Amino acid sequence: MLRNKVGLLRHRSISIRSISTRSLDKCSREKPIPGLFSVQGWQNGCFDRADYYSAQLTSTIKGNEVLQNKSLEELIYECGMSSSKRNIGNYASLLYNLDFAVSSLKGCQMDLPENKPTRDVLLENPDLSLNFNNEPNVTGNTQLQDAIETSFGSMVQFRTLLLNSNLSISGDGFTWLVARIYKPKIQSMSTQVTGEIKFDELFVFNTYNAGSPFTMNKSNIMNNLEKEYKRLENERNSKEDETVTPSKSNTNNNNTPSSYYNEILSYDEVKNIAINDTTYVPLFAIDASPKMWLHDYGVFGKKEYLNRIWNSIDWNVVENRLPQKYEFKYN
Amino acid sequence: MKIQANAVNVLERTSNYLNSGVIKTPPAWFNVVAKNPPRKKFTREPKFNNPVTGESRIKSLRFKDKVNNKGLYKTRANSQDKVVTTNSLYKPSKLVYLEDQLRQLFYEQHPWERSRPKILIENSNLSGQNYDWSKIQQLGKQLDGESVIQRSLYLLQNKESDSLMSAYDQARFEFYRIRMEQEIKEQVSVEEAEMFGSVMGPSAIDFGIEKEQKVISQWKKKVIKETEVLSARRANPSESWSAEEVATKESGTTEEGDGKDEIEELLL
Repeated sequence: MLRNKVGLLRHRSISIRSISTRSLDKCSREKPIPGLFSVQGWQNGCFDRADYYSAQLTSTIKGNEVLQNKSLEELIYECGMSSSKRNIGNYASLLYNLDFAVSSLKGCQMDLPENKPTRDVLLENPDLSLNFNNEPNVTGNTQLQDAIETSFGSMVQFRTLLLNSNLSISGDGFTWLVARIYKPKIQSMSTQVTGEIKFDELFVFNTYNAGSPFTMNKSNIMNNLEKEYKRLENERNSKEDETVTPSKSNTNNNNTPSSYYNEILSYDEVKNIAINDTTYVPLFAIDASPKMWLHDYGVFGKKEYLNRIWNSIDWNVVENRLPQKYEFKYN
Repeated sequence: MKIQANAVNVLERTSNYLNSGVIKTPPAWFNVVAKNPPRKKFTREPKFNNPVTGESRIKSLRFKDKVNNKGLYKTRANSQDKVVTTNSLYKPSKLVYLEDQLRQLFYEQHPWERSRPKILIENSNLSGQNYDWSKIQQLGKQLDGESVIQRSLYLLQNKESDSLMSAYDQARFEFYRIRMEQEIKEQVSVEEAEMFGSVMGPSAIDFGIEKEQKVISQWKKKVIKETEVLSARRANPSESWSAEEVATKESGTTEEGDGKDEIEELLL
């Protein structure tokens, strides 16, 4: 279900010698994002990690021609769900996330903090301002502004949700802004024909450690395993029944609820549709890893870091990733 | 009867006894009572001004300069107006605190704040800690309605806000921001724990839905059976009152009874 979308994200192939990361490759190690990182912080937060992840990834896919020719997204999608290839999926996901988070940052006008925030920050009064310097409207991205306002109510609500979600992550992780896309069967006929990708709403959510927005079904993995187990067990039972009394298995089939009144769905079925039949396109991500902010902002500086991240978002990049809006019509 | 004031003279008497040498050492309470001598004025005095608000309690009779409903001006006091009541001058005035009004307003606007668990001694400040309300969050005190009230009073007293309502609003908005942060923190920590392998029990809503689903599936079975019976009857109406039908009906009613019992069991 993701493959349609991979086209959006441009293909990159990985060779053994160098794993190309789109935006990190463009960045210079000596020129950190202004207003956000010092040279050392930039090195610690991005390049040391990227180097490590790509080295690990290269060593894990060594000698596997098929995997080496795949893009990071494909690696995440194919290996992230499998337990035996999990380390490949994890390193690919970490590298992709880091690269993706950096790609939408342009920097801000502020100077780096001279003194790192102290523990007084813990009891500080919250900022009550309702307008912010860096909003999509200011940079002329009205389409994005509209999408955010219809999905979250207002810019303030969105900012509060986004930054608080990131602030709450205690270890490594990313906060994502994603656009939700239903499977084509729920979309209109015209979408199916042209193969356009349209979204209906934006969401904010977190992934932890090497989690990826492309393997959303991971959250449901225990349910899926249980379902698979039950299916196998049922098959085995029905086979046994058939060998002993073929008539009994027929009556069993008749009693399953799905044979009657299909429009009344059970709770589990509804849950399944809600989780499995939707996909999410990431628009931008914020890295919550202490490796990113600890050097420049100190132990109590995550809030300050997030404020600056907000001021540094390049809304043009984010809007370019936004699919077309899906106009739902009640026919 | 004369006011019995002997008991309150205990300090003077003891002092005299000490002077004259009737008793040698002052009793243990002597210094304490000397520092806080008992009240000796027993006459009730009228208070013409309300000590809380400073307003006069004396109501002077003033007629309105308007025509009353009979089309006349009232110029003289009637018998009711002439009755002199002095009760109100002797009554203790009600204690009115601004905090109480703010508390009432806050909890009317946020009824669910009452459902949060609260430590009863929280407001009495038994820990001896002096809270600094220049910030709404305190070490050793959870954020709740009381924080909003104390913070808005602080803002008002220190002239950081020009009116009570703007102070209250500012405190309230600060409170909202922190509450939002806390709520997301709770959600994220549950989510994080789940991602790292914790298995939580079913939530109250899940539990309710499961129970409901059981009853619904029972109901569904019953309904399907009944519709089958109905459609069979429609297909062959001439046989509907035959002896066979009566027999099946009886069995049907017993089955129904079983179903009810089951549902009751589930509900229990």
